[in-house]
Amino acid sequence: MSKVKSLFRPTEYFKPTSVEEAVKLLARYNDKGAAIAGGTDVLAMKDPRIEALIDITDLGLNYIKSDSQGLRIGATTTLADIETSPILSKSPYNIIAQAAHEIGTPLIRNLGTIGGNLCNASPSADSPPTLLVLGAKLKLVSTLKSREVPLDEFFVGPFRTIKGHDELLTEIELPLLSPRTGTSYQRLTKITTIDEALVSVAALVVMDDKGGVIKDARIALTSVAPTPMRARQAEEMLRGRGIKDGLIEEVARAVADETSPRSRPDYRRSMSAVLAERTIKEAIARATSDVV
Amino acid sequence: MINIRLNVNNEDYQVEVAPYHTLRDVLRDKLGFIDVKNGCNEGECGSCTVLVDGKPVTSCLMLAAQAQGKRITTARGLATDGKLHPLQEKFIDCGAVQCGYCTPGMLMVAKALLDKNPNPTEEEVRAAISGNICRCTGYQQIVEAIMAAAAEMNK
Amino acid sequence: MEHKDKQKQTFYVVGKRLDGLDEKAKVAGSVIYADDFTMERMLYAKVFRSTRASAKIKSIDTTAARSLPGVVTVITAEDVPNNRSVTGAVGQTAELGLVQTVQQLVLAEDRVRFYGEPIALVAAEDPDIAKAALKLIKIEYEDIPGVFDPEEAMKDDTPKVHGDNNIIAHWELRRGDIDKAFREADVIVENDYQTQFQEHAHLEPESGVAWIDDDGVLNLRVATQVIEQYREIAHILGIAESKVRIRGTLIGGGFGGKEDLTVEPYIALLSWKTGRPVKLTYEREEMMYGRHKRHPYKMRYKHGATKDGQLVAMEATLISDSGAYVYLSSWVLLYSTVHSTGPYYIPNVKVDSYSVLTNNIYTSAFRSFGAIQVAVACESQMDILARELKMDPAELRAKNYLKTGDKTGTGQRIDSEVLLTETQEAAVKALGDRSKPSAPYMKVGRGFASCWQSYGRMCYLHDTSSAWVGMELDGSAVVRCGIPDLGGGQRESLRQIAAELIGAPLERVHVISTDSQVTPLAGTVTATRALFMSGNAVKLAAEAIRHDLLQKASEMLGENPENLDMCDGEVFASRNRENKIPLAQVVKAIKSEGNPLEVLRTFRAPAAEPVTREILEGQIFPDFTFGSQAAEVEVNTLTGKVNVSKMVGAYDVGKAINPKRVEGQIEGGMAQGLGYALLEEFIEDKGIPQNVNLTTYILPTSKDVPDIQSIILESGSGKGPFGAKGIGEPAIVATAPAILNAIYDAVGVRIKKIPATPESVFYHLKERGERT
Repeated sequence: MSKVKSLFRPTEYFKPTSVEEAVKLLARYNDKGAAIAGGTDVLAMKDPRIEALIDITDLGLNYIKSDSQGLRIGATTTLADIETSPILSKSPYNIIAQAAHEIGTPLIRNLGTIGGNLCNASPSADSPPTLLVLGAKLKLVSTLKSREVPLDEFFVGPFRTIKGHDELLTEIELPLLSPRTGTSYQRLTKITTIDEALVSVAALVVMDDKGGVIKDARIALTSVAPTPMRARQAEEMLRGRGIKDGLIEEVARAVADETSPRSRPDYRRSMSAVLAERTIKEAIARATSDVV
Repeated sequence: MINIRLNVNNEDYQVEVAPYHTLRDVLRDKLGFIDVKNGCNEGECGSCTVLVDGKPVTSCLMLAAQAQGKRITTARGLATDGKLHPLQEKFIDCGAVQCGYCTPGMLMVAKALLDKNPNPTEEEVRAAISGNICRCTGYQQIVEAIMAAAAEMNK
Repeated sequence: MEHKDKQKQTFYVVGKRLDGLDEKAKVAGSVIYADDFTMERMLYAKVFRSTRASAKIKSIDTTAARSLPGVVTVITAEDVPNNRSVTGAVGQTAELGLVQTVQQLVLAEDRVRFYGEPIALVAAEDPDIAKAALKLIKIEYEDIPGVFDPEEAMKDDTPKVHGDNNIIAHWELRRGDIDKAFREADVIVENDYQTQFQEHAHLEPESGVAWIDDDGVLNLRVATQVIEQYREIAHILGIAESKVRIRGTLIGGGFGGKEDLTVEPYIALLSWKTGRPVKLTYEREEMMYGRHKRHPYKMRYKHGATKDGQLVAMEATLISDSGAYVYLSSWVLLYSTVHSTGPYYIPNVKVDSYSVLTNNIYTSAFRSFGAIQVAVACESQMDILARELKMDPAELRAKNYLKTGDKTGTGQRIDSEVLLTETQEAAVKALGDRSKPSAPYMKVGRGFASCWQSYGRMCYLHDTSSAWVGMELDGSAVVRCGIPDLGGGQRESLRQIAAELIGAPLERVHVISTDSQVTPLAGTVTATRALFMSGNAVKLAAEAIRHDLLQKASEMLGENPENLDMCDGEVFASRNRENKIPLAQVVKAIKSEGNPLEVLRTFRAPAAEPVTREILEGQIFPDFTFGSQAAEVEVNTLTGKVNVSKMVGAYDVGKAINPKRVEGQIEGGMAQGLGYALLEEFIEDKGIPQNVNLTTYILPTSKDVPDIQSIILESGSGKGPFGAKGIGEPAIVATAPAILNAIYDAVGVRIKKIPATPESVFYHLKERGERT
């Protein structure tokens, strides 16, 4: 059969058994090679430029580990495993499981991986906000080097990241959190018939010992900008402040102002404010309920 | 082309596949498992659902090559020695089958659910099948059938 | 000799919740749907479609596509013997009178009129090669101004889609003195309503395989609701109708989406040209932008009533978007016009309806065929009127419901029973106690709506349906009937009816259906006519056989035929079961006398003269089904999201041949209605489709649809077999207005444009200043 240029027709399939082997293949094929784990994005897109499929499900990257440094999630951990993981079942990390639960359908979650969701870099990807507020770092490995990149710097545009074609995302690292950290995640389902893109908001709040002052705040959103984003100005409005009437509502409005939704902007901004208010309040409540 | 061995409904098959063939392509077009249906190409409808090592997945989004060494189950694998599985019986009894196009996929998801959770609540059933579209029944009778099968199997 | 109908007293099979052979095959995964079928040397087809909504085709070059290795042929309009198909009324042969559809094109010629219009066909050894060949077809367009709004398209100075007038149909209802009635009315309520393009989204894509058999007959094995389309195919190819055979498959969902021609002309042309079998299966995206949708409507309604709630006047203007080609738009509009009054007696009526061509996707049949849009308007109006009058909406409806003997807006007399009040009470009662809100910002509301929908096709079409029943020597039987099976149990109902009347055990009756050269033509599976028409046809044939069986058995048993009954392979005296004889023995005796015990019968629906005036008058349909639905919703006042927490549908189906299947229709229809009300909208922007997959066109999933309760009432007054009425389409009609009325009850906002998306509800709430 002749090579048809417009069709998805990779001619090679590899299943490396070590990260070393995998990155050699990625280097060799460069932009004509695609790492495939769950396949839910690769096979939905069917990019005709791909010549080699590199199956990364046998590299032992399917794990969730908790230790004294924090949490480490292997890149090919399925969304279903994240959804149901006992390690992620409790606050404050449970927002990761909650977000995973919202992705696609139960069938897609049995295949799709957290690494895939991040590397696909859809502007409406569901996992980034929760990982952003938790301070995630990504481990990227190539034949030449291995580097850690804060998730904050990972996304550069719709479906574009700083990851090179020859790099493999192997792990997501989450630092230890201080006590009196509370998190929350909220998502709107099926708002409109155009754009499966919806508004999702994640918030993380660190309270002081007495539970009256906000030591740190992080707010992240998806579907309201070209990439998943942090609402940094709004965060500033919270840091070092005591909780008083009207503050959170004001901050929620500020969050909405920082967004730049491409379509149905009014509604999505309004919803950003609604969800921001709810997540900030809930994060504070969870942070203060943790007072030992 | 790669030569692979697939285990489907407890039988081994040797088959030649291209790197880009999906599991659905191979099951339907090469091995004759037409109970794995073609409803879309993006995992949106659920009609191609099969079990891979007991987990329900949309076979249109999985490479055939990735299914090597795994146990694949399709709806045809439910009946044993010609006797229908309780799920199949209850689907019929409860009127959960109209045009039948979503049925094989629904059965697979239901089987996986009951294998893991033999006594699901109605909410758990609805959540489990939420990735399988049915345009004919309104889901009511499908949910009833799955609950009835669970009750039957727990006797 | 015909057996005069004596109402059966005891039913052994009809009325039971029986399992069907189709269900068994479906759970076993053994059914061979259209796309599951392959043949040796089969080619795969793909359709090359327009990517412009309104343009001239300046040039088209298929050379590169033809030269791609693996491509066997490429066809354009000039290769089609008769490029204009004649479908005026799908599956019928009667003269239509005033309404003639603008002829449709098989393939675009010098101009494209909608995005997705088929321009060329490719057949190749492999579906992916065919797809690649599409990309090699070079086409040059020259955009010409298009029109995308039906109201705009009605004006004189807008671009014309065909000929010189975009208005392709206009119907009227006229009764009484509308101006006087409004002058004298105590209360007047006037509002505008709007509905959207809805996609059928049947799970099985359109699909079929065509091949030429050894006798030179072109066979099409295809998922279709109309096997009579073999006539259109023969015409397109310029061959004799007797040389085209359509074998219908068990269909994976239709809802009107497989009623018009879909893949048939393409596979026929390609197979005829190449001499090889050809398969074509649409892809999901192609189904979205390439095939017809439900008509969007703009409706202006004005009701007048007395202060104690008597309806005295109704005036309405309906405008439907016919899209780029007429197809069945005139008929859909007719249905809307007839049903526009709702199931109420209104002494003064003035309705004007228009269907207008635009460069949007063409629109045609979809479950309910025009009655669902007007129900949204009408049932909202009734609710608004009730609140104006400070009356209970249930009481207002009950006061105005049609009764047996009343005349509809066209002057058709309702002669079956009308159980609207009963269905309304049953539906509302079944909602039970009002749920408590799940959070302070959630509001719970309840609403209901009543509806009517015709069953059986328009009387102008002189609808007929034929069936053949034959007994075997051993008392088993074969039924041959052309009716296709959409998944609603159409085929199984025929088995039940035949088994009931000829006394054979259900499992020994075999039904063979849906083959245009083997089974008597029974007409389409559309218009809620399958049970009414084919059920009656089988009943006629089976009754004739029953008559002969009872005659002979009476000789053999020494009893009068009126005192005999049959069931499960035995004939027996009703008052003394021991006086019996095996059915097989009776059959043998009859056959040995030279009576083959094979009967072909044709059932004829009530017929009317071809329509010659735009004012619709007289009996338009054989009869109507009446029902009500109730819904409870919970509205999130922060986001506008509406969750339906309970739904009930109550219908008088005359007689439920198989209650299991009837419930399935009611529940399935309601789920589709929920999607219509809240989730589904196919959107085009200047004719360019915006959402073409199932992630962006949102269908109800198991998490969106609550528990649905279906309530069956049986008046026994229908014109179908044993007093049955139809249920397939009525099931979808009342859902959307019930939900809209429930939303009003919850948060006091009236949504007049569907779908009632969260965004829409949110902005209505904001306007009303109700947000907590």
